[in-house]
Amino acid sequence: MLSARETARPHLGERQLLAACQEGERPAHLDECQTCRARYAKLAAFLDAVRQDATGAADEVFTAERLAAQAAHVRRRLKNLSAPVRVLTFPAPRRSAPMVGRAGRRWVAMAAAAGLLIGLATGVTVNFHPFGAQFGPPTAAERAVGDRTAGSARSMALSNAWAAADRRQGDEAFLSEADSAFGSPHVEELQAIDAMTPRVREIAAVSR
Amino acid sequence: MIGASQGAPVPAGREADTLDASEIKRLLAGELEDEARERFAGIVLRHQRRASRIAYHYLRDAAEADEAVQDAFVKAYLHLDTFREELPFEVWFTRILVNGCLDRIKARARRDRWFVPRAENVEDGQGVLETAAGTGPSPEDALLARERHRRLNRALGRLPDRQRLVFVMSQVEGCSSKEVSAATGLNESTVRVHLFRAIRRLRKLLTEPPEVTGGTNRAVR
Repeated sequence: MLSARETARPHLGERQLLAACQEGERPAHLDECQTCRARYAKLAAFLDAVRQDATGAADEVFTAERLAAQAAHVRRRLKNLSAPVRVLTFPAPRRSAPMVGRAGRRWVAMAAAAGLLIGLATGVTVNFHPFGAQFGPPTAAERAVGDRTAGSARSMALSNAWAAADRRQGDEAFLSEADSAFGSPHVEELQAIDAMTPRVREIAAVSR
Repeated sequence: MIGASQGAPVPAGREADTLDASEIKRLLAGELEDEARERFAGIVLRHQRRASRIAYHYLRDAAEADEAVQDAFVKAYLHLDTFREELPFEVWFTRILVNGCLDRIKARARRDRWFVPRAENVEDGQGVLETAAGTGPSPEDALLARERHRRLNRALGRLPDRQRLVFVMSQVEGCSSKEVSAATGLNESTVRVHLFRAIRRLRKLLTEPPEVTGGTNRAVR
């Protein structure tokens, strides 16, 4: 049964009840209204239960051992942060031979120039043609070899041409045979189309 | 309000944090890194449980929460020179943690867009073997508690990320709206709205009869 005072005042809203639970702002209405006090108690009990369960659920997963391992991980990571960074040396070019001095380098250049001159002089003296028959007139021996080579090349070209002609004739003969074999269609309806289609032998005759 | 639920006197904890942070800064400036690390280990021990709870409820994945907490501590150590004493250390640190968790949630969303989402390991029966032969509560109590935790985890999982974070920080860790606002970067009134909605939704979800699905309910029966 509500008292006259309770019915006169409106009840607290959920936000006000929550603020009372959360921030400790306990309104005076709570002392006067039994209904709101009951609601407040119910909400506070619910929040307490949820708090306990939520804490329990997390603590069930994050056991003391796990937290110790976590702290050790953090410590190790912090230690690694301050450890000097190990730099791997990039492979540098090796010094295989001792450096030759300026005088040595000069001797090497002079030897290379002398070698070049000697090579040119020798080439002129023995009439050496490094690029074959393109430069200078051919000798008698070269001419004989050339004639033989040219003759054989000519005969090879001829035999290739004959072989090709034989092949072409063979192909044409085969196609003509096939054409004549399939020349007369057995289906009457196709005979008109067949009459209009050019024959291979006709095309061959025209191309000749 | 932070730490009140753990029974530690609040000013002492905060003062210790502030003192430690200042001392670590001084040690790092003097290149005494070993001492600085030792000092920081004390901060880690004081805050890791709370940080793990927040990260766990926010990320809903124990392994990821573990990594997020580690990352947050390393980041806090690296950026300790930016810490200002006017803000409590735990609020500053929680902000680092929350930002890290948020990055992870975004990365997870990106990953899940391309790959098949992972199954949550919240309900993987972890700890069953440990408690079966333990000397803690009776098996029935442990089972009931685990079932309650599962229900709560499921209900929390159905809250939007922000609401869940605000709820966990306010209700589980006992932060005031102002502290949650400072740690999350949300407006204080927004924090209150999130909290109100989260509680209303949780009450609805937790007072509903449990869904009769899976093996969990069969085990309870």
